[in-house]
Amino acid sequence: MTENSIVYIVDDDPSIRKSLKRLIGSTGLRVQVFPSAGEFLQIELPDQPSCLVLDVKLPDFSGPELQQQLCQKSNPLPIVFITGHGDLPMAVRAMKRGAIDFLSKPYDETDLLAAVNSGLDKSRCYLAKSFEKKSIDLRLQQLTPREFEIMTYVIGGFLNKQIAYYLGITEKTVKVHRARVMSKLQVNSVAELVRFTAKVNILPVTTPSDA
Amino acid sequence: MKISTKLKIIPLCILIITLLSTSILMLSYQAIYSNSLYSKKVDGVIVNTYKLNSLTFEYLQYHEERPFIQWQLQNTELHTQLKSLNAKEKIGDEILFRLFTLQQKLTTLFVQVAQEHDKKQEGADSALLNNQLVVHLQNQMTVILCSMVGLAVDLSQKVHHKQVKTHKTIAWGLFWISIISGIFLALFSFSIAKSILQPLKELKDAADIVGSGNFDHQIRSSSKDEIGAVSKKFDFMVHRLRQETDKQSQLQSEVRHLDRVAMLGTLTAAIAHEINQPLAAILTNAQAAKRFLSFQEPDLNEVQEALTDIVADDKRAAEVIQRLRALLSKNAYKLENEDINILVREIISLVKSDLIIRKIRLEEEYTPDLPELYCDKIQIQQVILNLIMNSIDSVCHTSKESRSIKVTTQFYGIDFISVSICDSGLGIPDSPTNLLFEPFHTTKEHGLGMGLPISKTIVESHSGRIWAENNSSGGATFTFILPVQNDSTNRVEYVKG
Repeated sequence: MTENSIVYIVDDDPSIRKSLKRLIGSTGLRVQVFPSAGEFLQIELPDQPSCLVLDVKLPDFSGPELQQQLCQKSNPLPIVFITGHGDLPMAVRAMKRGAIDFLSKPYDETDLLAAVNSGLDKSRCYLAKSFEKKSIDLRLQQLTPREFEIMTYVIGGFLNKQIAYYLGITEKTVKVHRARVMSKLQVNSVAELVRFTAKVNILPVTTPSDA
Repeated sequence: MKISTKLKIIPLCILIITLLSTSILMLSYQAIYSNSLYSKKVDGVIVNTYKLNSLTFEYLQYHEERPFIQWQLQNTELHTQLKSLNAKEKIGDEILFRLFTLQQKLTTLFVQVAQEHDKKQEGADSALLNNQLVVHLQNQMTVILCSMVGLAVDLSQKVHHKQVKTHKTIAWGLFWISIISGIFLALFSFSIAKSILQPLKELKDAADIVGSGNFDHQIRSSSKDEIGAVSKKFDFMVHRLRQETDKQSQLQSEVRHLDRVAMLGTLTAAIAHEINQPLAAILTNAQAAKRFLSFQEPDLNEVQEALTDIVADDKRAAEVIQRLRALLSKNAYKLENEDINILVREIISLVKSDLIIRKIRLEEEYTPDLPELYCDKIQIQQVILNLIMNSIDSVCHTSKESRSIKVTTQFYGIDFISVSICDSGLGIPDSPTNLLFEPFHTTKEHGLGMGLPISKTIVESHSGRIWAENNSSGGATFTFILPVQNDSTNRVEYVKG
């Protein structure tokens, strides 16, 4: 995974940019530097583990402002803040918004690299989760509306007989649909189906809508 | 010699000259008087001699008793006159002596003639013989009388000559006395005037020089008179003045220094950041280099580059500290050729972080290749810093979106270079703009009101000018100009120190 990871650095000071690139580069990570938040926002973030090392004080946007903008995107980018003169409230705000760490200059390499790595881990985690979610979504899309409906009853813990009664169809038909759902979603047991649907927040039917 | 003594001498001299002239005049008057008296007496002798002569003839012709007695009386009078002449004057002693002798002879002859006459009247025998004798005696008497008249006239002439001579002597004497005393008085007065006016002129020149601001000037008069004393007092006064202005300029320099310290105090965070940045870069580079070296196959090129960057960053930090130290120092006034763009850039580098923190957009517009200015770097940077700090304060009262400061360097006419700091702040309040540069006039809550007055003194001591105006689009622009051809001799002295 390391080969694909990328670390972005946004800092207006060329010395800091260069030295950070060198330090993080020495661990074998790919590094890309930007002198301003504006330039960073123009690039397309790729689907690979990435982390942002961000200076709090920037000539165009401030670090926290950039963080806010990034939060609105679907794939949250882990941020490690570095600052020359950060104050406590600013650090608290940044951490609340999900920053990995808030380091003040001059920072120690171990702290910085640990923060970057934990950021990358988090990013990797996000990516894995979103990959799983994507495959689940893909499988769910294969279901017909009737199959989806029956699935919600199944994960609600209803028997085939009950489902057939509530939907006004034969028990045999329910069975066929149920088998199709299990095969389309590639699950072997009801328990597995429940875990599967829970990942994508599909709510089970608790009380039948019409008796 | 003291002037008062000299001045006292003049009337004394005039008094002496007057007394001298008066006594000479008196003496001459006396001489003339006695001469004329003598001359009268001589005239009397002449008249008597003539009378005696005529009486002699009368007597010899008529042989009467009356002329005889008259002759004798006349003769006695003449004798008295001659005697009085002799007793009083010494002019023509010889002539007088001869006159006496002649008179005695005459008397003798007259007695003989009288005897002969008597004989003639007694007997007529020897009348012829007697007659001849009488004629002979008469002739002798006539000769004597003539000689006497001649002598008397001689005497009279001599007296006259003497009189003329005396007159001449007096005239010349008076002439020379007046000439000499006149020249003496003129020279003396001239020397007094010179001895007063020369040091007075020196005093006036010195006052002019000191008045123009040069407190190093001293008269150093060696004279012991009153003006010498005044000159010494003047020197002392200038010395004290010098001490006072030195003290004052030292105070001013301290106030300027305090102003710089105070300004930099408000910039502490920004300056700390300026030093912290390269320090952080140095640490990062050093740690990266360490990592590169710890690899099994160390990448020495990377290490080399990291070390180069460390050196550069270290220099950068040192420069900031150096700049700071220069601004904080109490360095003496030092005039050098400076590039105004560099001076502005150095100050901008100190306040840059502050501007970023406060969300102030900074525009810099430097006219390239401006001629160098002959100025004190620290003081001019103080002015720039002061104006920028004022602008920062002003724009911070406005909304974050529109905050901006623009710094411009450019030509102002041919002979001046201008530095303008234009901001988007609140602008200058309606109060008169000249109050801005007055001490203790402030609109800030924590301001002392010393920044702009100090800036003004600094700019004016560099023969420049500073002013402020409101922009039409809001905010204010502060501009100061400095002459390109800066003549250091025109500088006002008190800026020293």
